[in-house]
Amino acid sequence: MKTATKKATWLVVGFYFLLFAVWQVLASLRLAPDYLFPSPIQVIHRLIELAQDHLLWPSIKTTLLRMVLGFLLAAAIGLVIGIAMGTNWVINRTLKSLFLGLQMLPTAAWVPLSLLIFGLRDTGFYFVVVMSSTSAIAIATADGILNIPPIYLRAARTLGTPRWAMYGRVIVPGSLPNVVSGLKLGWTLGWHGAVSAELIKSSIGLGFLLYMGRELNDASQVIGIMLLTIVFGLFLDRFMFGLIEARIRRRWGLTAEEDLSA
Amino acid sequence: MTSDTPQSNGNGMAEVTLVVDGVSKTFETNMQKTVAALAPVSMQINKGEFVVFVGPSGCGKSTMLNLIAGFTQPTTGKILLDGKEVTKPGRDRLMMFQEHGLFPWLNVIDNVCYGLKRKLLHPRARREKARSYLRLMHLEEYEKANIHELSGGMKQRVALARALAPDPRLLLIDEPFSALDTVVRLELYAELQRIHQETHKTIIFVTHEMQEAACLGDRVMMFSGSPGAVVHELKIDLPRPRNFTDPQVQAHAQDLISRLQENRS
Repeated sequence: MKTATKKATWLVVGFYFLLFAVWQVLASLRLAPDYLFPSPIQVIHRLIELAQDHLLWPSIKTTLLRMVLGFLLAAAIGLVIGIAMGTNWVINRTLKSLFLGLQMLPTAAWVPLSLLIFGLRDTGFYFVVVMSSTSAIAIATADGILNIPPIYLRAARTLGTPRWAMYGRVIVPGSLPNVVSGLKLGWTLGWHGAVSAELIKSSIGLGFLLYMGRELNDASQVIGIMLLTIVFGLFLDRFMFGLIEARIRRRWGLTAEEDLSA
Repeated sequence: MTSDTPQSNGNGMAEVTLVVDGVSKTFETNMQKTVAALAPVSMQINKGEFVVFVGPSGCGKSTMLNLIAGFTQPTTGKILLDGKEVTKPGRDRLMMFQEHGLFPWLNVIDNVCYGLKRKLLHPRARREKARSYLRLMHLEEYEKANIHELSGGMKQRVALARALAPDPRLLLIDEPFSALDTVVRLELYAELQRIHQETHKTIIFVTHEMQEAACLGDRVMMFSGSPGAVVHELKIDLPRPRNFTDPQVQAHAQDLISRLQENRS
């Protein structure tokens, strides 16, 4: 088990090393001019320049802060609506189609409306993040509750659980695996929304640096910021949900991620 | 056909725990259709008695068990436990299910702790009590294990420990061994009889297998028909612990099978 995990880690490290090596080789072949197709070394160089200009770290910090606050808000709203949907079929029937419909919208589609309502105020970012991720969280929570095997509810009732305690003792823990996947999806969608919003209406943030890179015709900066957006989104996903997910998998005996590829 | 009330319960001194008085159940399926699942049934169950409800599927035996558990309400009649009317599920009538129904988000000992009253007991006292029931089921080494790590038979033993821990007046058991292999089942028959002898619990056990009924029951009540009713009652006075393959158990099982065939033709 332990050696398998170690092996998988080396596999992943090797894969990225190879990816960057291929990129470097392709770039040095000069098939396209380097202002269109920069090498990884140029990208890293540009990121260091941005950091030295005191643009990089404040931008990362701003985006993360907006995102975390917006996501906490979205999670709170999404969980409350999701629990209401999961326990009341009228609410579920009516809201589910609405939320599924809202999920059809690309997250960036909320930005124009946010501009109209909130102008350039920071509230607009939270609006975009909340609208991007709330429906995914609510739907996953509702499905999680509706998919709790009825036998758990029956067992809890025969074991003397009062109705008010059902939420804390059965419904929340029983739906947790689904809820956590919903939160993860919500985080991803919210992250899309936050960066999209910054692309259009900000003077700081990762999205703004992307926009600025395009204005400057600087492909190194555009690619560099794209990479950072991926890295930080993924890092926070692991940081926030990794531990709790591993715990649930161990307790419930769900398939480990590695097993899927094995 | 209505059921026959048990007239004689052997020893006249026995204390009556459960009274079922003219209980019937009708289900509403779709808009207008109603299905009678249970014709009026009356019975009395004594303290410490091991009663088995037996019969083919759809005979109303599980419906009766759900009514006693309080999961559903009778259409007519009433059910009294120690003189108090049953209106909702509760830990005085604990039910054990065909699928173990253990909570996968709790480990073994927390599952057993679950039914113990939170207000009255100190957490440490609850754990100690849960541990004593795990010991009773020879599972003390597994208290920290996760549910998915246990075998099918162990899961049912944990479920039994969980059902026993709150010290219910009545233990309701619904075909708990039907998914297990033969060796494990034979082990659990012995285990269940031992628990019954040690704790003197009143038990109602539902099954469709006559041999299981003959092996376990002090009294077997046969359900049949549609709507279901008690069509036959058999007292089994064999010494315990009984062996599943004992010729006398087999003879009683055979008797039950022929009774069932009579009632169906």
